Amino acid sequence: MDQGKFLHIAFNFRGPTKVQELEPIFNQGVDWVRYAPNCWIVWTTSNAETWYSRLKPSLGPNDTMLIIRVDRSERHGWLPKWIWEWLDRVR
Amino acid sequence: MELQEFLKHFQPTAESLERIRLGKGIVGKTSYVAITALIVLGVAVTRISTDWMRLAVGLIAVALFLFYFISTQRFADKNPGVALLEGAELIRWKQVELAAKNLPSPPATPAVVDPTKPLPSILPGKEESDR
Repeated sequence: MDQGKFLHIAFNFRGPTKVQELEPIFNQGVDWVRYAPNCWIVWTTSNAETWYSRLKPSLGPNDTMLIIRVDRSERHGWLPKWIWEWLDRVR
Repeated sequence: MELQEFLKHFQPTAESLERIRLGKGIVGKTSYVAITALIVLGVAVTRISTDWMRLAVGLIAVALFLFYFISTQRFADKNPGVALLEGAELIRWKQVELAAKNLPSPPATPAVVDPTKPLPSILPGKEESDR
């Protein structure tokens, strides 16, 4: 099992968003934040392949998903302050 | 065909009114106001005898409709949640938008730039392109 890291997981749902359906899966991670209806950042000890295996069964045939590691050292954006604080929290 | 006779074709029946179901939220609520205002203007047209006044009221109705339509489109574009939802549905929509583990209802705070970074300068047309 890897050390903790941030993964950005983004979806494009072709039908209704599956937020409620996906939340129990994201709860398998150490911590997560959702900053848009289709965008999660997960603090996890699992790798991208594991997250793919967890999430893929919940997706429809036309839904799409990207799982990619996040490097916090280079960042900028426009988000509520509590999300910036969530990103900076020591874990 | 006389104007009053023509307008009779557009008089809503109780059955047709029951079928009209406007959305919730600010757009839904203001739609009731806009429809009421247009009905009042429509009734006013039938009571006015002079043609130029009928034309003036008709132009006011068209202007009112265009103002309402453009304003609601702009508002809904900027605030889709508040425009179409209210009450528990609006709260649920906000929960869908933003959440964290063990924090289903995060604080409703405005967006800010990264507080750990200096404020970036945004000068349209002045930035260098990637090479």
